[in-house]
Amino acid sequence: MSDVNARDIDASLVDRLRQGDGDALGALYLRYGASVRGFLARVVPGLSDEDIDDLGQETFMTFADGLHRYEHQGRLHSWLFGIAVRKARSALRRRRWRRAMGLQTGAPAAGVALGQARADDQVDARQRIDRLIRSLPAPQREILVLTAVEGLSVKEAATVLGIRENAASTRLYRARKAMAAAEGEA
Amino acid sequence: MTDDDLEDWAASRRQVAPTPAEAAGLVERWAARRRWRRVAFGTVGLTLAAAIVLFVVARLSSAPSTPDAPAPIAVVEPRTLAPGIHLEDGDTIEVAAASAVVVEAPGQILLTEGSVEIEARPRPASAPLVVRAGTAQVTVIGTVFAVTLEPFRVRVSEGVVEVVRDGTVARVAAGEVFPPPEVSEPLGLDALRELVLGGQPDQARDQLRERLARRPDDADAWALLARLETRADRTSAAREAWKAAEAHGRPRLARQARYALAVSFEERPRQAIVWLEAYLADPGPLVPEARLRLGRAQHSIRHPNADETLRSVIVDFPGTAAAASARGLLGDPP
Repeated sequence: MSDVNARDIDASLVDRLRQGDGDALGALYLRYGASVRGFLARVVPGLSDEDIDDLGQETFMTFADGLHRYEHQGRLHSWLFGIAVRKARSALRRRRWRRAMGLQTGAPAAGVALGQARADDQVDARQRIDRLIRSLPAPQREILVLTAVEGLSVKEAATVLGIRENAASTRLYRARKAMAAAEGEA
Repeated sequence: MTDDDLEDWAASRRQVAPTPAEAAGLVERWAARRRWRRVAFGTVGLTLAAAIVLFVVARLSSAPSTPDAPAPIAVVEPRTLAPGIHLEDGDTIEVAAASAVVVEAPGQILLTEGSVEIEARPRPASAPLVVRAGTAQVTVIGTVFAVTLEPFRVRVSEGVVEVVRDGTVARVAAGEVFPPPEVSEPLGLDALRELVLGGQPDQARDQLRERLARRPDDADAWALLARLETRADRTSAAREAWKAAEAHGRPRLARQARYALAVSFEERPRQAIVWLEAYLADPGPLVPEARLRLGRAQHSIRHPNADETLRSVIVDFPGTAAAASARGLLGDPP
């Protein structure tokens, strides 16, 4: 996909949205909905499909509500990831609170949604990575998913997370180290 | 754990692209939220305004009103389109045989079987034409393209479309195919000829180029490519392909290539003479025509052998169209 053309289309849609054209939000959702929802599913393991859908929509509505803060310089999906990260953190806080209040028994065991019946090596590997990713603290999981999975540079990921690039590099290093250590223990 | 493992894990958590209905739902939800906020802020504003003098309220009443909320989304009953050509909302939709297409709403098309070719009218980016096929989605702003369900394929003839599939977005421009041609073994020549007969010469040419990049000594493929390039009036490309076919082909194909090259150089007699002499050194069934062409080319550059060549056509092939043409060139009576 031509990045330049993609940015032109993004800019056009954002302009229309600024002018109050709600359909432009729908078009942006069609363009980036899968990407944002996928990111949410990776960064907050255990979210239900309904939660992912809801958080995804909230991400886009928050983007539309805060358009005056958006400057179309970088890639739009990085900006959306920044909003999605905050939504994901809120979801995690709510989950912890619900657990603390005894309202929720916890997320399903790792890999249940991946199909236990498929006992092949690939599924085993996914379940193992799922467990490793879950074992990371949220900040490390966020930087790992943003860089290693979503393909953002460390600099872009730092912008998304609102931290300095050096801090992002350190966090990424610790995330990989923690994954390696956890893998060694497994 | 490698990055490949991570990618595989990430792929297992891919989310499908939202449907147009979900996008419409989001737009409606956002509009409702804005309306609610407007009411909430309006209430607060009125409370404050009550503390202000009446003439301010009177001035407010003459202020321009806020924009209207977006119009409600129209609900349209889905309709199934049978194979054939349909005009829908300014678009031309050609449903192939044994194919099924459902128009879910204006600008929203679902391909449930086979393939469909669409010439879409130009649209604003905010209201694109959306074609869904299985888990994939093609978003169009105004172009000519075709979608096939199994195996999923999008071929764009004009303009640009955006394809969302398995959580990834790809932009497909005119002349391109999504997914890109397989890295595995390209189509065989018979299949490529079928493509040509099926009216897809551009796709066949792309496939041929890919095939020849791996097997540059495939003379039959070069010959097919040369014919396609000739048909498309790309003379230089056709000549290059014929030269490759001549270099790698069996004697019969090499002869065909020499004759085709001579024909392609009709406007450049000296080049034509080279290829015609090469053809006549190992002649095929087109000797009368080749010798006539040679005589004509020689005649056009006042070559000393021109008359002799043309007379040999008259003597060796009496009663043929070539002999008649040779007589005409020499000014002999018929």
